[in-house]
Amino acid sequence: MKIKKYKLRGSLLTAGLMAAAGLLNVQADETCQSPYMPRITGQEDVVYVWTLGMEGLGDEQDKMVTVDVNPKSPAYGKVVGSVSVGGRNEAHHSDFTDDRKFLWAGGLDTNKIFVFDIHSDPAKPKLVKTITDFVAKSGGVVGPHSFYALPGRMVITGLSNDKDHGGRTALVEYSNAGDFVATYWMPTDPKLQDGGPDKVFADGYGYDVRALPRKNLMLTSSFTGWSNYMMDFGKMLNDAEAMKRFGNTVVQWDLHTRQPKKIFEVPGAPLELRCAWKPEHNYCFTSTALTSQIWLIYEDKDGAWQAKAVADIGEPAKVPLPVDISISSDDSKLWVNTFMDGKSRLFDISDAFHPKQIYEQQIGAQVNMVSSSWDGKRLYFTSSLLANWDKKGADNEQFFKAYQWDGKDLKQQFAIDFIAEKLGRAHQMKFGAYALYGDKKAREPAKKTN
Amino acid sequence: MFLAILPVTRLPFPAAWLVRLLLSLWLFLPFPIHADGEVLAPGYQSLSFTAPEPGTYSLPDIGIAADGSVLDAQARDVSLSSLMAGKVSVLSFIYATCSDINGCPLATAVLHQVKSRLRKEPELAGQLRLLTLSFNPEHDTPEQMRLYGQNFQGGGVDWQFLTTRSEQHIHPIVEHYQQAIAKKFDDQGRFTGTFAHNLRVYLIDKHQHIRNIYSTGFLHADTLVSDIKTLLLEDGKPFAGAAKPDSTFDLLSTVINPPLGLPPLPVPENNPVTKEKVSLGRKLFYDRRLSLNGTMSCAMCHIPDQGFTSHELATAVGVEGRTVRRNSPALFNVGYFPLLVSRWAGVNLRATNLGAVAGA
Repeated sequence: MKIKKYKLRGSLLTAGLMAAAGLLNVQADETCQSPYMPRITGQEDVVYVWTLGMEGLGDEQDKMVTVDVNPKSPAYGKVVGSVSVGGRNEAHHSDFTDDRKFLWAGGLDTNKIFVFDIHSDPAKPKLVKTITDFVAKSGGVVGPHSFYALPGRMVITGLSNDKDHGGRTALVEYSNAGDFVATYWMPTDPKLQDGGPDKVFADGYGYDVRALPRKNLMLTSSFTGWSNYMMDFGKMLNDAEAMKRFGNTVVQWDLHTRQPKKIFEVPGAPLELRCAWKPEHNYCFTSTALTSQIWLIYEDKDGAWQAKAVADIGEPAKVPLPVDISISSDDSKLWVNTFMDGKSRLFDISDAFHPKQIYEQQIGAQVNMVSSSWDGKRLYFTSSLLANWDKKGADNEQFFKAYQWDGKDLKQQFAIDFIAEKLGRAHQMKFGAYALYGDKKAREPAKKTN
Repeated sequence: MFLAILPVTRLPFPAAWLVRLLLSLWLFLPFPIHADGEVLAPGYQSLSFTAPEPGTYSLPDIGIAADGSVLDAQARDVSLSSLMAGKVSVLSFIYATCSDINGCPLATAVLHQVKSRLRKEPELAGQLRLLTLSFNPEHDTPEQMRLYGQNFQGGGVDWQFLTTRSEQHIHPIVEHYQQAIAKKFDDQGRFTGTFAHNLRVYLIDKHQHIRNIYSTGFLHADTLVSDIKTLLLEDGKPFAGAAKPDSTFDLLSTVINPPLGLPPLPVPENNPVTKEKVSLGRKLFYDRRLSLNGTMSCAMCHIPDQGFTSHELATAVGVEGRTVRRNSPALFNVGYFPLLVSRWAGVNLRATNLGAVAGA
């Protein structure tokens, strides 16, 4: 176990160059987390899987499932904890507070936010608070999606609103104590549009949020509203009007003031945002679900931010439906999962403007999330997209799968069948480690750098 | 060209020593690297973007800044609230022997820079108070804090170096501010005199509400000064909050005097429409708890702004996304229906009160 916080190893030369380029405040986590928290750079002990309850399966409730993933543990590959939250909420995403002591998990349907204590016993999360008035407090935001840690606060993206349950939504800020702080509606001002006010694409939709603090940059992406993400997937695909209600925008914000600066046209529902880690890499990636492209949001030579489609994912005409992406900590690789064909694809992004696919593997009949360890050697996959969008019948595989990446091939280490275990639909994953909290259960001496 | 900073852990007050050294070298550090390879935080460098213009943005209320009993450098009992009263405060938690270059020394260095900046603006400096509070009262006596702070005194801004009588006094304060700290112990279980902690600095307004929180990656004099000035500019204005004025239509008057030549609304003699019932009806119409899983209200499908139907959906989406085969019928004038006709045939639901809500 190695914990890294505000420290860079390596030669003075490397560190000097990084400092000169302005890295200083950027700290990495397991490749896709908020920079303002301790991170695990060695072997993670557990993975938290935010899991949707399924009717007729087990207790039918949403639950936070803990899987032991440390090969040195006697419980390796086993479910070691499960906390049911009472009912189904359309469990979706979760993330840590900046001190990494609590894990916040949202329900897209009931708008509840569940706060788990994960520091008292990392293997046994404890539900310590349930926020039930998110819609009222936020002024009508529906569908708490991404949770992103800022100092002492959580920034939460919404997916919808309580007026028409369409895609217009907002960023909502809460204190770590669980109190509402502020709501920032996604911009629709034509004057902020990239290309000028005569264009018509500013939709006010939301999905994910990430930041590059050294550039005072915050980005948000866009998906669709409650009326679509709760609709049966097949029915929605055949509903021409419904298919028009997907986000086509990425928004650049001033991170410090939370003010929108520019709206980019990125057609086809740009989902997860992943920013590069290296100080000279002033760019972030996203992938578009419906148009199956990798987009680069980058700073040009004049210091302005731009958006550009840089690669296709699979055959866009077949709508493979890219879902999650994961960037390597050295910014050289990008894993891209496509839900419909159940594949994970690896892109070489060492030239960010020209990503090239170099590998692919079938993970299952369907696949959604991918999470990588900091060293890129371990990858974890889960299966569920949304309760009403998952495949039906035998193709509705629900799993957590652990793989090793040796630089050439993905080799499965173990798999947990979430239906056989009567758990539900496995969705998003977050890593935990005993040594983060000075716990004696840490199986390797903690090489703490702070 | 590199300029490394030598380890200083044997000095009596390494934090203060480091701060002074860093401040003296600050402008001359092209590659600010600590001797062991640690990169210095942005607070030690020029900001890589332009800090926002004060007053062009708002700092929302993050919560109440807790009170607590502390000791000043003269060992007098004072309350945090009395120190914060009437001034904008910047509160930083430190311990005097902290040698983590990107921890406590960073906070002290940035506060020193803020103080230097405001020296030229005495009218602002007089409205600001800097508070440096130790969370290690065993070592950091008032005298130790006085020594720690002695080089940072004078110059317009009041800067207090504080401690507490005991760990029992500091514990509730750091708990409230969620300042995570943990003593570090050696292999024999002995306290090493050092702490694991996340640096936190708090900006607190004159009404003792927290308005911004900074950690190592965020703390910088430029943005902190902008934030301080932003708070001072809002003097006299209420907190920036999420006020949501709810424009409520006078529904009762439309029941009594139906608009557009509509006939009188049928009202049962034993169940008259009252202001309270209209208010209850409105609440019920928006109450998501009345659905199977506490998710859906009437208003989610019968959207008031869209004529009490849904313009977005050809056919409605039901509870837990279950497919519904019909659209959401508009609810205009259902107050005139003797019964609500629905697929739940036989339910004798009086439509009048719902109509009073939906028909307006």
